[in-house]
Amino acid sequence: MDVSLFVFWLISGLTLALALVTVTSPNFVHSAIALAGSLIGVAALYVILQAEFVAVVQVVIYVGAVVVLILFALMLTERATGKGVRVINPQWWIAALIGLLVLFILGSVALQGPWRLSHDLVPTDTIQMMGEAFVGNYLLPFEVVSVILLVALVGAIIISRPARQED
Amino acid sequence: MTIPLPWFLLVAAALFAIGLYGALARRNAIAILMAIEIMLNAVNLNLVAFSRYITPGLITGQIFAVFVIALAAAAAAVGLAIVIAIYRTRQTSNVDEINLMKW
Repeated sequence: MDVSLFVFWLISGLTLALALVTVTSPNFVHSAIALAGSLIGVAALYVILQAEFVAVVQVVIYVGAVVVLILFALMLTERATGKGVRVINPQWWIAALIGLLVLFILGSVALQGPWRLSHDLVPTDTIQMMGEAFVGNYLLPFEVVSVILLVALVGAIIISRPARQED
Repeated sequence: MTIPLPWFLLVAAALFAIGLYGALARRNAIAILMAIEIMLNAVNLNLVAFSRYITPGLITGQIFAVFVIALAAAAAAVGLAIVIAIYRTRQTSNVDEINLMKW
């Protein structure tokens, strides 16, 4: 039994289990922490796929910023959740059916193949290649993403400002 | 690589299905946003896995994944700002109680 297979299944199992905790837990802070764990698991899968830069970007941006932002928003919108507050829709079983249907469709496509696998060497200088791509071939998407981030920043600030008394 | 490609695709499909269930079944807007982040991560995993197994020399999937991460962060920021603004006026973050458009 190959160690890498065992490690892959362990990390995938942890990631999927934590994702399940995220979508089923009645405590939202538990969900957010489980989401952080699940995203770290996905970053570990990126390392297995030899995409180390994407793994670091994932941890820094997703776990380090997005999950923290979600926790801020959870703390700011906290209500006195009593025991009787439902956290799930009455139509949750339709959602579960749709989820299983999507899993079945995607899984059958994934297992069917045949995928034209290539046995080329995996580059080890992905950071340099990515840097050259961002200012070379992918310059336009890079600039557009910069503008989008600026717009999101300004928009988020304006939307969440308290209403002014005089206007 | 000893791990076959379909296994990565299966894990990504399962993550996507879990995120889809969470986005459809949860009442709290922030929980729905968390489920959407799970779905975007499943897509990223697919992109990076395909890039690694089909064209490893071009890292197109990884570049795409970095763009998706940046856009997902921007979407989460704006979405959470909207949820906070709605909470400030309506005192609720449950999406089935935010039905202001129908009096």
